[in-house]
Amino acid sequence: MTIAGEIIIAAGVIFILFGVAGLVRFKNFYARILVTAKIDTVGMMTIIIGMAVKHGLSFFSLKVLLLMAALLIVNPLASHMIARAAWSSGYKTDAQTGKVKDENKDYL
Amino acid sequence: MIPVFLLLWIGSAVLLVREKRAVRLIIILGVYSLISAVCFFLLAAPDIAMAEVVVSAFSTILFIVCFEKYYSNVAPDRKPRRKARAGSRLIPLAFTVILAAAVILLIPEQAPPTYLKDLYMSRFSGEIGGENAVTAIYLGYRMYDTLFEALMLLVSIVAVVHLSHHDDEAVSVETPSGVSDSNIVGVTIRVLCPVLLLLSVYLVANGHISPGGGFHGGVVAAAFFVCRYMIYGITDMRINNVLVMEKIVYLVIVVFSVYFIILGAHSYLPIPKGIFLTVMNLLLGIKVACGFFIVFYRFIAFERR
Amino acid sequence: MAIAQIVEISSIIVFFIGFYGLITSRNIIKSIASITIMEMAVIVFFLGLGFLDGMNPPIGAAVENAADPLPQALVLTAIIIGVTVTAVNLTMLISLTRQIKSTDWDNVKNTSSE
Repeated sequence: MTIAGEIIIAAGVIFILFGVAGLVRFKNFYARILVTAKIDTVGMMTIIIGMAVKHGLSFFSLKVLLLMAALLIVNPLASHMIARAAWSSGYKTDAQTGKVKDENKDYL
Repeated sequence: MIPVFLLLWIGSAVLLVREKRAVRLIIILGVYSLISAVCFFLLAAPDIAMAEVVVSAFSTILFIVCFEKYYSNVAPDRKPRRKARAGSRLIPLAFTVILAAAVILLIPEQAPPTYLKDLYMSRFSGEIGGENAVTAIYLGYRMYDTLFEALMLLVSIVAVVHLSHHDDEAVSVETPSGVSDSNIVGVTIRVLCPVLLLLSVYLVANGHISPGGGFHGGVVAAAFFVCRYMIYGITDMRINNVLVMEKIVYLVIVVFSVYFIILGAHSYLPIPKGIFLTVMNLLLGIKVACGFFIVFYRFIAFERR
Repeated sequence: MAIAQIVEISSIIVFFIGFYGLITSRNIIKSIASITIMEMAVIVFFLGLGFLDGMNPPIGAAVENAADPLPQALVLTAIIIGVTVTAVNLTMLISLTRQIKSTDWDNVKNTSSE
């Protein structure tokens, strides 16, 4: 049980590592928030599930799973709010500024 | 583990001091507070870590509201910055480094005495009750500290109320920006609000047997009112009632603690010892929640030009 | 080097980083943030006093090798006080910006001398 939990936690850490790599690689704000929103949620959830598995059935793992439920709701909400605030305060996407040639420009 | 996080902590402090733009400064301050909360947890102080997490979230909100309020007042700085002399950066740096080196050299070598710690740890469960030694100390052995801390809170809130220009018009006109027109956020906050209140009740009620207590629960309850503001606005709340209630709760705290701790009713009354701690935590939680809500209200209701 | 000494030295370093920010910053909001930095450093210094590696949190009636609960209880109230002090500072900042239309310390000096 302990080893399985540690493997799951390691998988979560690797997810977050990919997220950080994406954060460094992408230059545009919207691409960055796309990457971090998903990776944060998935990586944190994987780590929390790993902790629950590691401790077995107990009050601690129940609390941790409740935390995961809260994270599942709040984390995408926060990303949505940041992206929305950026959009309404006038950040441009790459296609709009003309740095990247976008075939779907007409549909934006 | 601890040295790694201490390095991160120093690094975020350096970033914070070198930053020039205000918005980035606020975000880095939040990150710095979070890293210091992790340091507190690693130093075997989960109570402090919890308090720091909830309080740093609240103070980030205050900073953002403050930035939003003064941003409309500040005129853009058009005159060119005068060129800094070569010594103007170097002299403070050298001064600071010399002072820091002197203080580091003056740290005493031997560890501090531990007889008080041993005394508290062996006796608190029988004398005060509960299982959390930190709660037993700040509600039992060191009651005066808590009383004067609550008084300090009262005084700072009076200062905030006195210094801010309150304008009822601004409150009634204002709608919370960006939230009311986003359906996703409104619905989610409506769902999450009661959970937040439940969390604060849990923290207060379990304060004497697990990390948590009146201060943490109070700040979380104030965060509930912040969320409520984001949905409905705060036009329907009467701030004067909250102001009066805070003072009455402080009076009740003083009377209650004097009766129980200083007159010694705690030792001869036939009630379980956990009840005293729970009631005190509840009163402190109500007081802290009122105080933080008043601060937030006055920040929001700050007059706009 | 013992863990307590590492904690103490790094908290003193952070305290003086905040001090440097306080004496050199021209932006008022940065000065307020520097006060917060110094406060956190003092708190970590208190918690690091007498800390040994592998100590447990002081929760539970019969916990072995517990950390010192006394500085923790003292510091807990200091955190709550700290955020209200920040709130008072920010209130004064808003009132000040209404008068001088700037967040620079230099402009504060100019208006007060007239």
